[in-house]
Amino acid sequence: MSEDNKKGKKFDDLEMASIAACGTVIVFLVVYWATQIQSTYSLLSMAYGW
Amino acid sequence: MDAPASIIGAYRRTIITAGVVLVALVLSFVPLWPVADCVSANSSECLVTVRVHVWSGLYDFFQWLETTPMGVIGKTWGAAFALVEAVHLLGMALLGGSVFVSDARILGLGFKDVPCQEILDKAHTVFFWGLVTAISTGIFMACGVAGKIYYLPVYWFKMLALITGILFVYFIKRPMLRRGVDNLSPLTARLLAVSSIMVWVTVAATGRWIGFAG
Repeated sequence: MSEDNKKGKKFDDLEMASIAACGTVIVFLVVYWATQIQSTYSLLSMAYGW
Repeated sequence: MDAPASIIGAYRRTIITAGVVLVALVLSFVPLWPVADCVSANSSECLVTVRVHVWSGLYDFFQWLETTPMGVIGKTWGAAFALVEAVHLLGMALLGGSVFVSDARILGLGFKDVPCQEILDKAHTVFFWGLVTAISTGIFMACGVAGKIYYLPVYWFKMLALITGILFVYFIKRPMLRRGVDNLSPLTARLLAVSSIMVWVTVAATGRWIGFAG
């Protein structure tokens, strides 16, 4: 990484927008897959009485 | 009055990105669209989300897709569907391989002996042709099973993930990586790579899920 970034230089507009978009994608997908796993677990527990 | 205007100007892309996310969430989850011929006493029951309204409006289009030559061939000739699906999977393999190679290099997990920009540029060419292959064969496959996939939530989630992935690559990842990975902050580089992997893994996983659903 460059020296500026190692020193914690302020993010510019495009970098801020990228961080916002990446954060949204990651949060949305984590929630989606967590919900899917939870619903699968619920079905299995109903089927096998876990 | 100059200070707020300059802040908005300086962070125009960030504000637009946040606005797009907000509008997408409202259109997806907030009931705003009035239902035609609704007779319920509770007025809130006569509203649906814009997402549901658009989905209802696409019914005729999906019915028509099954009647097109591609739809008829896909439905009646299993061997043709299987061959096209094989090419579709090869396209996805190209696409997924290019994503993993470039993102692993960004994260420093592999291919460290090759310059980062060289890997990113070559992987992007492979990504483009993988995407073209997957989309063109995917349209054929969708025509053959249009009546089924219309009712599958996972199909629509795949489309959402696919559109997000394409927009992400061409409007966020590529413009950022054109600056050179060394000119990005470590946080941004890692977020780009992790979110890219998550989006494309979701596209692949939901795509396979369609085959086992409905």
